[in-house]
Parts: sequence; structure tokens; C-alpha cells
Amino acid sequence: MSAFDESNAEHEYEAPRARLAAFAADRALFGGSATIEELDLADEIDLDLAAEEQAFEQCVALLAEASVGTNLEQPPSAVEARLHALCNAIHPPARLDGADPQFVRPQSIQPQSIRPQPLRPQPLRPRFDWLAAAACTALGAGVTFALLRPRDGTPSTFNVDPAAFLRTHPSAVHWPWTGTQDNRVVGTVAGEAYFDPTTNEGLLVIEGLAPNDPAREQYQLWIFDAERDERYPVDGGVFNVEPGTPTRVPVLAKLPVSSPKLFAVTVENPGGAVVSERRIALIAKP
Amino acid sequence: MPEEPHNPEASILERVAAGDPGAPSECITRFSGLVWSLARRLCSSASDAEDAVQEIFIDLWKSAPRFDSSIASETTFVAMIARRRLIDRGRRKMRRPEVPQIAETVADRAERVDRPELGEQQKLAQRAFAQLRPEQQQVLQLAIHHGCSHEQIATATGMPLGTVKTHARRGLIKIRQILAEQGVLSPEDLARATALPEGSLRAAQSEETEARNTRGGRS
Repeated sequence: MSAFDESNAEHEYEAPRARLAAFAADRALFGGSATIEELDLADEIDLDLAAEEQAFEQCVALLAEASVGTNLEQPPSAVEARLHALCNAIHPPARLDGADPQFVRPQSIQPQSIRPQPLRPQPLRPRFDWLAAAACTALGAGVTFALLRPRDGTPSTFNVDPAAFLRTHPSAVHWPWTGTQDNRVVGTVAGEAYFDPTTNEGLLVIEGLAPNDPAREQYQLWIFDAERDERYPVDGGVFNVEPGTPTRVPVLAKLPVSSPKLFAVTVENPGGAVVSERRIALIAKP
Repeated sequence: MPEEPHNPEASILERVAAGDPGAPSECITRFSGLVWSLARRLCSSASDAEDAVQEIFIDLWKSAPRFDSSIASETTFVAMIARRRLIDRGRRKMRRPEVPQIAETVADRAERVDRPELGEQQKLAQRAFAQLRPEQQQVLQLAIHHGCSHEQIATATGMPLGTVKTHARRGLIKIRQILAEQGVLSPEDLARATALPEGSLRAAQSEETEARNTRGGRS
């Protein structure tokens, strides 16, 4: 066996800066997420891990472009037609006035990169009480949701581990999810919604939702704020649920939510909705 | 709320972000060739590629507000989003395309260097690539152009897994340093990239040992 085996490769980069760069290069080439230890180490040495990953991704993208640049294939006309049809189904995200453009969310916080875990067996669906009913009434009345829809965005460095989130967000509320009778609720509903009104950041940990096909539908988070009109909950963004994968979604509400009182997950068209289809799958409340 | 008029000078992605209703369609017309070409290389079948391009464009429209032309061109931004989505799909499905013949991939690369159709940044990236050691080129070629995993590259090349990782990392770090020095990456990245040699120094010291061990292991 070669003396230069995998373990040697892992220990080759002794300096933290170089080690983190090596792992960021790995992710740019092969995908995956930064570990909590890497995020902590980056914090310790004050390294912008997201910028690090972005630089490597940019290099890889340039090489990929160069490889296809002289030999572009056009998609079949049927594929192109379906893509154009998609345009009618989506609502492009609006940019808030004065919002600083953020380049790319780093791979390390993509919910898709969470490791797989089997779903639990089919459960009884719990009932939800008056507050949820009130929220459903509001939804059922066909009201307009979150007209001031924020741009999609997440914190530049984000830990999707709930315990770590609570450590770094001591003001966060966290409430368990309850499933509705919607047919997208397919397993034992578990997990919680975490939200810190002081930073407007949150984390969704969800089990019990059916995987979605992002080309057909997506889940969308709505945040009800006691300080706002109940007809206008704040859009928390859209997300996907993957097969066999516990869902962890970082949340960054661009509109301030000072007093969260309920979170609702709805099923919407790809890209999410400005006016909700009023199809609630999950709620979380105190 | 009155809608602001769309800026005709803005780029396609800026207009997508601003809610210009015609911009998503233009985006498809402009970038579908690039996205489709990348998808065909990294997906295991045409039908998989068809699904992938839809996901990529949805992701692209959602990500449009994060596009910053001072950091990368629109084409590079699109390629980054596309690759990220394709890698996610590949990892989810635990399925990768067949490992290509090495001779074929190297021939591909040689044939395309310095074609006039390439943009300046892409040419610089190719030239940076050409400065790498042949083993580094081989590993990056398989990873980037054919979507191979570490393990597949190790199988295809006969290199130990650790060696594959090392070639991939060192190769990409070197390309980043070259591109940062040439101003292709953001000015801030030049300082970050040039801060890397401390860690790379030890890597360089062990490079000769590694090469000796690898040669010895194969003989």
C-alpha cells in the first residue's frame, strides 16, 4: 500500500487555514457540507468560509465553461418548450430596495446536503387547536400573503444543527411541528421551527413531509408575527424535501418579525407564492 | 405598490431579480445551451438531464438576486448554480455517469485550448489548467468535466484515494492562486489566495515523497 494513503492526505494540511481551504476545494469539486468543526475552526481563525468556497466554485465553473464553451449542445425543442412553460408558473423573487446583493449561498448550508435518514412509520395525525384554526381561517379566506416578499437569502455562515443554533441564538423560540390532514404529511411529524427575532434568523427541522418534485411544487414557510396583521404573514422562503432525508432549512426573514406566534408550511407552485394557495401541511406554535 | 420600470441596461439576471416578466424567458434562450451541455455531461441519461435543467433554471431564477457582476460574469454564475444543482442530484441519487476513458478526456482538452470562441476568463482558466502537473489535470478533468467521484477517479486512474484527493486539492488551489493573480477572481480573493502558501508549503515538501511512493507502489 502506498505510504501516501487517505489518512495522510487528511493530515497533510496542518495549518488550519490550509486545511479549511483544502476541504472547501473538495466541496467545490464533489459537493458536500462543511462540518460543525470546520465552521467553528473558521470562526476561530476568522476565515470567511463562504468566500473561500465561492472562490473555488468560481474556478471550477470557469473550467467547466471552458470545457463546453466550444461545443455547446442545444436542448431538444421539447425541453426548451417545457422550460418556457415554467416561466409562467414561477414568480421571480422581488429585490428589496436598498438590499445589498449577496452573491451565492455556500454549499455548506444547502439543506440538500444533509445526510440521509429513514422516514419513520405512518402515524396518527395530531389535531391542532384554536390558534392553528385561526391561521387556517385566515388562509382559507383567500387573503393575500406577504405582498412584500423578500429576496431569497440565508445567513452567510449558518449552522443547521439545532443545538448549535440555540447556543448561538439564545433569544430563539422553538416550537414543535404539527401535521394537518394534507396528503403531503406522510410520516410521523417531528422536528421544530427555531426562530430568533433578534437576528431574524431561523432553522426548520422537519420530518414527516412527503418529498416534493421541485419542478411541480415546493414547500413554503410563512411566519405569523403578533405585531403584524394576521392576513399578512411574512414569507420565510421556499424549500424542498428530499427522499429519505431529514429536512433542515436555514431561514432568514428579510422583513422583521419581532414577535413570532406561529409558523405554517404550505404547498405551493415552484418558486413559492405571493398569494398562497392556502394549502397548509404543517404548523408550529407555542 | 406601484411597480418600478425595468432597467433596459440591466443584465438578464438583474432583470429576473427585478421581476421583469420577460427576463426568465430570455434567460432560457441565452443559457439553455450551457446548462444543457453541463447537464448532459454530469447526468446519467437524457431524461435525467431534462429534469435537471428544469431544476437548475428554477434555482437560477430564485438565486438571481444574489448575482453580483463585480464578482463573476453571468455565464460563470449560471455555471456555478448549474454545477451545484447537478452535484446535489448526483449525490442524492448516488449515481454517477460512467467513468470515461482517460485518453479521450485528455484529447478533448488538448483540442479545445485557445479556441477563439472562448471568453477571456475561460481562456485564462484553461491556461492555468495547463500549468498543472499531468496527474492533477487528469484528476480535475474527471471531476469537473465528467462528474466523477473520488472513488471513481481512483478506480479509473489506479491512484490511491488519498492521492486523488491531494491532486484535486492542490490542483484547484493552484488554479485559484493563478486566477486571483490575474484578476479573474475578486480583488479580495487575491489576498486570501496568496495567504495559502503556508499550508501548501508542507504539501510541497511532501510532494516528492508522494511521487516516489506512488511510482514505487505501481512498479
